[in-house]
Amino acid sequence: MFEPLIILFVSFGLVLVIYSILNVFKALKFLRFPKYFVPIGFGFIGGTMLSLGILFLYLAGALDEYGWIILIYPFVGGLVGIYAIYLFRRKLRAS
Amino acid sequence: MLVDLFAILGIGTMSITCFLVHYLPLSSKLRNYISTSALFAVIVWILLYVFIKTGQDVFILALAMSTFISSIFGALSGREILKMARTPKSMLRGPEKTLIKKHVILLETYAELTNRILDRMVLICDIKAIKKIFDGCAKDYPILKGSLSNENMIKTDAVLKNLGGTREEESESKLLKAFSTLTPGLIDLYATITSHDRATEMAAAVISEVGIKRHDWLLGRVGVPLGKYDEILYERGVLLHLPNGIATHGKAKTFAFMVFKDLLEPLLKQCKFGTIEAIRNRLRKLIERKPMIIGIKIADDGTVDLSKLYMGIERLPAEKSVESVISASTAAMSVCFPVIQKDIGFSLMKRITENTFHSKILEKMPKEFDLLATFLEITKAMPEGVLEKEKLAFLSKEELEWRVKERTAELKKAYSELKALDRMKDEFLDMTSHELKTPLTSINSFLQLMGSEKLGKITKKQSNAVKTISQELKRLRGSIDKILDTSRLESGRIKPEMKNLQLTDIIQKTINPMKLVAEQKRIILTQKISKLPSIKGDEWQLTELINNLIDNAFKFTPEGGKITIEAKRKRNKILVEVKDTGIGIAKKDIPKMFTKFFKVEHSVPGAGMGLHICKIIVEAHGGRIGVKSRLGKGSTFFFTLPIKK
Repeated sequence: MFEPLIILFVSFGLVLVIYSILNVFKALKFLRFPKYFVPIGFGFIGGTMLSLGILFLYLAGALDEYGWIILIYPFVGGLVGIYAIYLFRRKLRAS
Repeated sequence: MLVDLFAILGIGTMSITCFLVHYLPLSSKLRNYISTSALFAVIVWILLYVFIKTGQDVFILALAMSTFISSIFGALSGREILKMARTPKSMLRGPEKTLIKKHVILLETYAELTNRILDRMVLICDIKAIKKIFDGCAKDYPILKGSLSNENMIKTDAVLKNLGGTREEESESKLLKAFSTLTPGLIDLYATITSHDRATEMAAAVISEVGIKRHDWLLGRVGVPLGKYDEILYERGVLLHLPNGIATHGKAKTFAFMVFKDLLEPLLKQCKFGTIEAIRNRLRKLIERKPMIIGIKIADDGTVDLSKLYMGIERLPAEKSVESVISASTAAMSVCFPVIQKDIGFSLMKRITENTFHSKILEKMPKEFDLLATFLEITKAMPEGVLEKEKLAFLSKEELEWRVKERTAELKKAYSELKALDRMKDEFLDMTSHELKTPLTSINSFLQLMGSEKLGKITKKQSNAVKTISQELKRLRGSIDKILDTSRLESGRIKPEMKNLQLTDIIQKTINPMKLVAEQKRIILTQKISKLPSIKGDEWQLTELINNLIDNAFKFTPEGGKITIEAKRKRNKILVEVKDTGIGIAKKDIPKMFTKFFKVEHSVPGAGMGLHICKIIVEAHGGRIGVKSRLGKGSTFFFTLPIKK
């Protein structure tokens, strides 16, 4: 019974994420060390894609069974994020 | 089991990431946006885990809502990053300044300004003319090569490509130089088609479109991105929009530094780098005494940027009087001038200031405001001789005009008085000539009759007396004639009648009668005359000249002495010398020899006019006269006459 609402929220969320990615992409040429912003961008895209994935799995009734696979993403993404922040700070300190 | 493991690891690492975001060098706003977005992402994973465990649909709805909220904050973060990149002033002051590529922002801002100018120009200007300006600038600044797109816009990518791997600071400096030439150049082109005023209006419109803050950031960073148009706009904006009273003070304050810039900049552009550096040091030292001058920025090429200083003046409290600003500007000028003068020299310095200063300042001076006092205050501090003309000019136009009129009237009056006096002198001389010479003629006639005993017999003593009177009479007539001749020659009433002459003949004719006198005085009279070419001259005047010189020699040569007359050709001149072995002339008297009524020996007869007449005659013939002499040894009078073909 929540399906239309879920579809609506995730769709709006997707639009907003695309908008923010475009903004970051536009700002990239003004920013130093752009390669550190790329994983952030991919993180956003990945998160959004996974939201869509969750939605599709839920609609297909397979979320209970395969949901755990999706939980790998925050673990990997979190590790990459911590490493990126560490590298970024080191680079900024050096510059 | 796997679900629990990944849930704990995933949620744990994401939470740490969310926490670490606070350590990024970002503004608090951006940090909050990012961390909130990440927090809701963590909530998404928690809700997913709960749903897997419970299977209740409501958690999926909450998950979707969290995704949405996370996306909202993500979008806000993205927007903030772009906003900060485009409003560099705030970002460059904030903690994220290390993240920004300043030269790219500089380029983007310049490009936006230039593109808006180009937008307006393409409607009325020939594209070829615009391209010409671009090509001209690209020649001097290669980073602009290929920067004009087919749509007549700046291609920032092309400029960035041309910059290549150049260091950021160097890139900034290159962009600054290139666009500070290009943009004002384009506005100038616009001004030639429309008008100066419309071009200025266009510049103002472009600035307001780009955003005053961005433009001001550029202004603060690079000085004047639109060149002179920025200065004009500044003047209009700051000076004209101030309320009455304050406006007056504002005008005086900025005027003081306008004088500083207009006067100093052309001088500094002539100076060596070392001199500019020395001036910067001097100004730095002066800041201790006059902190107001802190905004003066002098570039390596001598460009004076006062935009920061103007902003500082604008913010000055009311109690900071006009006098204190003027005093700061004059103090700055006084420390600069000696160094500049040492480098470029006083004459060049004076020439430049004369060329640039006067008209520019007068143009800018608001008519309704009496800046005389201000200006005089400023000029007081300038080195003597630099702005004397300007100082005088500022005494007020009316006063100057009045002075000129007064002096002209005085001169006219003096001239007419002198003319009347000259006429009176001539009339007096003519009258004297007539009044003196007529009785002298009668006296002479009667003396001749007496001498020839036609009026009755006279004794020998009486005959001698008649002879003496006759001689003295002759001398008196000679003196009167010379005075009259001098007057006529000086006034130009006697014009030389130029004709071809043989100077040899004239000398010969003059010497012959003198030979008898020489024998009587037992003086040896010799002549050494070479073959001379003919000259153009007045026979009577040249005879008078030679006669006077020989007569003079006879007067001062004692018995047994020697007089030699020499004439020879010397290049394209004839040199005539009259040498005697007379008393000679003292060194101090030599310069006065040809002046009117000057006599070396007062016991010697004569009016002291002979040599003066000689000088006038020689000069009328285009020659030169002089004397060489040693006291007690004799003198040599010489003159030259040009050989004219």
